[in-house]
Amino acid sequence: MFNKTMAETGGVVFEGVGMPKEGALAKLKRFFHERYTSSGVVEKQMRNVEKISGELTQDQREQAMKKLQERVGWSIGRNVAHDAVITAASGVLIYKGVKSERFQNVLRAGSERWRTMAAAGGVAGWVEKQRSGIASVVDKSKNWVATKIVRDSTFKKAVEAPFDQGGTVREVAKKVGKKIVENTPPHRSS
Amino acid sequence: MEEKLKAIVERIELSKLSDEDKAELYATISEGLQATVWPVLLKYMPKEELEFLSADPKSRVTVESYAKLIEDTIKDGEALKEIEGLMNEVLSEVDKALAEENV
Repeated sequence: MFNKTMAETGGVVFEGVGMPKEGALAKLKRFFHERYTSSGVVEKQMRNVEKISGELTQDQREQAMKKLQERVGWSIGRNVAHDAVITAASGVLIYKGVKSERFQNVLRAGSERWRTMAAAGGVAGWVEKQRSGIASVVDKSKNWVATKIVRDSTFKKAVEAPFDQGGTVREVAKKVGKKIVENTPPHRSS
Repeated sequence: MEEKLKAIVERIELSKLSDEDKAELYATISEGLQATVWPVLLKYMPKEELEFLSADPKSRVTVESYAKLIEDTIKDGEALKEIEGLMNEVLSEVDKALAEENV
C-alpha cells in the first residue's frame, strides 16, 4: 500500500536465512521486491498523502470510500481494480471478488491487522513505524516470518501483540518472541 | 483479470502445497496486487488539491475532501486502466512462477 522497500528503508533485513522457501513463493517475493524498488513513488507526494490519510480515523477513511463508491457506482467484489483502490485509500482489505474461503481468510486477517494498527495510532503512525523500523522477522528456527510486519498474514502473533503503545518492529518482535536479524538482503542469501 | 485471479486461486487450491504455503502465497499475491495501487494513484492525483490539503491537514482534511481527492484521481478512468494493466502483469508473473514450479 505504502510502498516502502527494504532498500529504501535502510536495508534492515535478515541474515543468512534466504528466501523463506524455494520455488514459486520465492520467485514471487523477488518479483514484488523488484517491483517495489522500481515503482518510482514520489516521496514528497507520498508524504503528503500520508499526512492527509493520517488526519482521518479508520472509520472516517471508510466513510470517505463509501461516499466515493456511491458517487462512481462501484460496489465491492465486482472489479479487482476498484476494490484495490478502495482498499488502498481506506486502509482496509475488503476484497470479495474470489470465491475462495482460504483467500478470503487471508484477506480478512489483513483487514483486522490494519484495524488494529489504525486503532493503535492511525495510518500515518504506521507508516512512520515502517519508515523508521521495517525489518524482517524470523522465528526461532530461522523461518522467514515477515518483512512487513503489519501486512503479513502469517505473523498472527503480531496482531495479537499489544499495539496500544505503538513501538518499532523490533519492539513488537520482542513482545511476540520473534528474532530480528539484520544486514543481509534476502535475495542474496542462500 | 477476475478470471485470471480465480484460475490462480483454483490452481493453488488444487496443488499439493501445505496449507501454510498456500496461505503465504495468497498473502504474497494480495500484497503484490495492492502494491500496484498507490504509485499509480499518486501519478494521477491532482497536485494542487493534494498540496492544498496537506498544507493544513487539520483544518482541511475531512471525509468529504478525502473522498473528493480520490474521486478526482480516478474519475477520468486513466488511473484505473493503468492499475488494471499492472495487476494483469502481476497476475501473469504469478501464473508464470506457479507454472515453472509445477504448482
